Amino acid sequence: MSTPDLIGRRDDLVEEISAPDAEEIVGRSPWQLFWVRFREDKVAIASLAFVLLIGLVAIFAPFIVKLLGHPPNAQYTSELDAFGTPKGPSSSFLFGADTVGEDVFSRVVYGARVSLEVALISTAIAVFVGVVAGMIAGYYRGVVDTLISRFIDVMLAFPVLLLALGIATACSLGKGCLGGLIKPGVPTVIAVIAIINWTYIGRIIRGQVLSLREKEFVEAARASGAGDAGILFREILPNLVAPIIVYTTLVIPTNILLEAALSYLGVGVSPTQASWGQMISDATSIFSTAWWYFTFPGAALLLTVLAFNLLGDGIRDALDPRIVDVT
Amino acid sequence: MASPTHPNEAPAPRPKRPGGGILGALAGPAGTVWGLASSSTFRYIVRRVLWGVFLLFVVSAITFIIFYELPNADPAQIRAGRHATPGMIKEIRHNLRLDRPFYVQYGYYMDRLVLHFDLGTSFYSEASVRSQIVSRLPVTFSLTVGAVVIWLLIGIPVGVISAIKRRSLLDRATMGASLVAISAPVYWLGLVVLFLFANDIGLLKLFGGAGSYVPFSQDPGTWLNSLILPWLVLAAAFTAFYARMARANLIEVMSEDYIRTARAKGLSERRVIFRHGLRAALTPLVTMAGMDIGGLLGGAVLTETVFNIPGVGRYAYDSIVNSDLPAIQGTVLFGAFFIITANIVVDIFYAFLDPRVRY
Amino acid sequence: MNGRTDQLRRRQARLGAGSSRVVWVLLLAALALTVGGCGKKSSSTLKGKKGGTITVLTAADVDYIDPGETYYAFGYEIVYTTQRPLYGYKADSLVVVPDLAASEPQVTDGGLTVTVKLKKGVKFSPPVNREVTSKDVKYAIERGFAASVINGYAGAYFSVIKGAPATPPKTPQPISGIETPDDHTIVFKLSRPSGALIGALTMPLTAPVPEEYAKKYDDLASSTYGMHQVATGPYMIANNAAGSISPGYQPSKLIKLVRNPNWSSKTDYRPAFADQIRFEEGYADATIATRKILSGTGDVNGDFAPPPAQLKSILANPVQKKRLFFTPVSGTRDVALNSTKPPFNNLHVRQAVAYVLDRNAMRLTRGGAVDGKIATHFIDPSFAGAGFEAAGGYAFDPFPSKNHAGDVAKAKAEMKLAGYKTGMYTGPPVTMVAGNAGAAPNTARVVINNLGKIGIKVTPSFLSASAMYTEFCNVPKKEPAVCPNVGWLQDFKDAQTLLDVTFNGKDILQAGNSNWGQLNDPKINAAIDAAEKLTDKKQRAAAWGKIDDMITLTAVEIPWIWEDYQTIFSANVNPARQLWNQGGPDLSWMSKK
Repeated sequence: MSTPDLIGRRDDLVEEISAPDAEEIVGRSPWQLFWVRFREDKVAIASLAFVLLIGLVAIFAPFIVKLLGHPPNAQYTSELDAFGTPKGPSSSFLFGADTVGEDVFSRVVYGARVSLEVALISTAIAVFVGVVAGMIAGYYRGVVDTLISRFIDVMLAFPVLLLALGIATACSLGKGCLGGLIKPGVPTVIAVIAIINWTYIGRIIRGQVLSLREKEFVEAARASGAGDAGILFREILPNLVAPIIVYTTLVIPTNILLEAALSYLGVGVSPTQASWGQMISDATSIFSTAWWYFTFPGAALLLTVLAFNLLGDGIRDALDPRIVDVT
Repeated sequence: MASPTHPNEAPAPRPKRPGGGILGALAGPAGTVWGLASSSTFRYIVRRVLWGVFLLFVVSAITFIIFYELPNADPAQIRAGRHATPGMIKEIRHNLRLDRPFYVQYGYYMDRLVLHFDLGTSFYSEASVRSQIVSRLPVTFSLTVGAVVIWLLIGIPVGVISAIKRRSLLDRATMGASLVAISAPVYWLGLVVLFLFANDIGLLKLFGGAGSYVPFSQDPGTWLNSLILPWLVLAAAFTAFYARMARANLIEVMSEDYIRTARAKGLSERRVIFRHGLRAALTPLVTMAGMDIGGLLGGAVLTETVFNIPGVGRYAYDSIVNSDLPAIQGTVLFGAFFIITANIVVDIFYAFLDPRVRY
Repeated sequence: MNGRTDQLRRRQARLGAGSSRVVWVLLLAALALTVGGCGKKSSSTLKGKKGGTITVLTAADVDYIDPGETYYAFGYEIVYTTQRPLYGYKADSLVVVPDLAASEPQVTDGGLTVTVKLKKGVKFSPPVNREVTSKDVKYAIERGFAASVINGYAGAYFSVIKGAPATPPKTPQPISGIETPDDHTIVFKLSRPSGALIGALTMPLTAPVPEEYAKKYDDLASSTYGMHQVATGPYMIANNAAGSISPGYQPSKLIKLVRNPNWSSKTDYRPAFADQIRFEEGYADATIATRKILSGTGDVNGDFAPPPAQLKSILANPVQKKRLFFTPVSGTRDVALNSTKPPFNNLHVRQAVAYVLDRNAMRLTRGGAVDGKIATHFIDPSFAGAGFEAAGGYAFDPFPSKNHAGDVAKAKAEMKLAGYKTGMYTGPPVTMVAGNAGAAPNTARVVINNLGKIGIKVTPSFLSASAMYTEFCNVPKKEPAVCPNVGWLQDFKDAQTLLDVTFNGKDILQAGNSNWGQLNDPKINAAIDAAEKLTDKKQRAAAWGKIDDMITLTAVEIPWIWEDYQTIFSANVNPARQLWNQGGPDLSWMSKK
């Protein structure tokens, strides 16, 4: 394989990190090397810590809220003035109240759940579908490839947000769509994001598989009688792990923002569930006076996405140090 | 091809363009072969355009199916009013052709579209969809062009300088700031800048606040003032992304063999960078910008929402929320048209640059 | 954030009144009692200098530009400046006065014949230019029944006229029960007495339409008369020589009214101060639009109300406060409980919900006390003399609680009566469809929270108001257990318009249904049937008041606010309101300073 052409572009990044370092001299596995490099990157470690922290907050939300906030969905009209405008932060309401008198702190904490849950699950689904589609298209080529590639072409021609909005709107009704398979609320958002995302990784994986299938070790495997499935799973898939990881690190923060955007536009998670994007939307009518209501959820979003971005950078750097560090 | 303008109105991971290592092709000696209008180029262009038109048809059909089949508001009931009788609803449904099978409706829609460029009438009011979109295009144009200018003029030089002064404090600061800009949601950033700088409600009354947009023809001064904050906010994430990309591209190019050759030949560093390095590093960015522009012209919904700019994006959003099927069709088609066109333009550009790309 | 007014606001309708002189005196008396409490002096604002352009800011477009089709507040604002129905109102007044009519209607034959004499010398605007005759009023009403003209209330109020078609003819057909013995007399022959018909003579459908000019447009599958309409009022939509209003109507952008050259102040009580009236549309964000009015870029709000945050600052500003007016919206916002779906098929469960609901918290989602009074039954205070007192006034509160904050104890007691031993619901979650814009989702969240207090869990869906209504709440087959964001307004000042379509078991439709509780109580149905036929205003008020109480006790719908509409005027105009019009300003009475 040639030296990476150009690694600055994110997609090239993904493309070229396909084979882990094949240093044979020292007996360390590529993953040990990865870990050594990762450990040395202070920023990456810090962001990993932050991501884990957010994860813990999401998991232990009920306890945190019990300690520091008020129960979720408990409405306190005492926190609203005569015009329904919420009051600001106080010792009892750390981040103030929202427009129905619920505790913003509690909602921000529970919002972490929604954001992480949606981003992680939808990314996982998108990656799974994309990898499968990409592998099939790249390996079998011919009609199958044409069909899948053209289908991806069509999907990518859609204005993405409009497609997401449309599907999200349509599926937010009582039973959801696909005969109740996709229920409104969190499942719908997950499905919508997955639908939008799988095409990107599908393309990338297809490209990878196209070049991988010509390689000698694949030919060797075929010669020794391995079937298609065997080749796909034992020879090709391991070489896809690195680009899959890279892609995943790139797209998780994007999906966090996407869920927030859908909630901001009112077609995401149900307003009864706390979502950072929905809170920012709710805050818009009063933001010039009730500054806390958009500041805290927004900061939470920013910091979480930033942490994932930094973590992603760190992982990519550690995977292949020949890549220019972009920190 | 990829819709690079990600829903967050910031760049997103893009799959590679078909055709192999384009940049490898560029990293050849100076004076790359520019394919002139040879017959193979021409055939390639024609193929791409035809495929683009076909894509548009498919997009319109799928849109029709999605927004027709999935249950949304019933326009006949809305138009019928409060004392609607089933008879009235039936009449209106008949007038709107909603009682025909969907392929009949689709056929009628496409007939009007292709033959008369008529996008139909909104279900919600008496307005024609085409006039609605056309009247909002200049707004979206203004927003897009301004943002593009900012992110290209600021992002790329910042990236180049950061690459040259790698690992300096400046480099670390700009790359750190750009990461923050990529991580911030556009609408939140919008609220923050409005809170700080809007001249009606902000702390420092500097620029036009939300809803202050007027057409250029009406008052150029106010038009400009109202767009400064939206431009900055919309461009922020793109600027950051392009800065990072420019920096990374340039650094990588600078370590290529041919650059070493140029240095060895004795060319000055400046010549090396500007003559040889930059073109290779930046050409892909320019083409990416083409695709980003295509995506943004379909409407930057989030930015238009938070700043209350009457662009196509906001109209698209409103029509989806109101289940205004003709308007949805129209805006999706417009968006797809720009995306597909941008892709074709970029593809043709590449075809000129690298004949190997045409297949 | 989404300033687009929700379904309730948009479905405002107009007021009419009874016919007899006695009633009108009563109304005047009631007016004296109520208007005094409405806050703003009216007399001094109705003088003004002629000239200038008034700019009205609106969020959306009219539903229909055709005066015989429009049924929303915005459309009415235009109609009542450009058209002259048989009867009308002066600004800031609840008193019905003859508009196109010359005098009060004469009711004879035990209520079966209604005769109206028309004024002489009223002319159509260009390009028709001739004098209005009774035949034009006859045609205007006839066209409302045709399928090509989408009128939402012809059937409801005018079908008592003999010969009114039962099913819509394709194009306007003559109605035998409307007679025109001479050019200035119109006679309605009814199949039964109807107080509602007389009230409906104020509606836009009675504004004259010239048949020889309009027929060619009305004979199309979908009438285009709206785009070629002519006017009889002081203003007209700017049109060209052929009659098309495209110079004055750019859909979703602008509507321009200019003076009607054929209008004469001699035949009209309207002062018509301004030379031009412009409706600038597309102000989707109410906050921004309100700011523009406060700064003087616009003159008055059209189809949206200033948001609570701004009401707060306006009221705190002594100068701006003087330009803020409140008028009753004449209806209620309600939480509907589907009485065909368990557990709400049980009266005690519904009454438990009526007890537990914190109406104060509900009202806070819309801005608190500034938005209106908390409702305890359906006929609201603006119906003084027309049923409010007969329904018990403010005192009738069958589900009282301290500060209207809800009474959990009493609610649980009701649940026990319903068979839930602990007072808490033990069944599966109930479905709810709510709106997703403006205050609607917050209101729904309050309802969900309160239902939780008696153990009822909710699986909500949040949709656009139009989807919520047309796909779910208005379709009995698909209606969820709870519709928390519904509401209903008067068509004119008669309690029948509040209670008939919404609670009569006979009016449950399979689509476009407004009886959201799906109430079908034989006693109530019978009472409604009887009350419909009364023509004496006092009797009607008494009868409908009783019906209101009966309905409230069934708790199929829980009213929670008698809303006020807030109108804000810029400093450049002398304000004029339309009290009966729920606050939308009567533009024929507004003037620039």
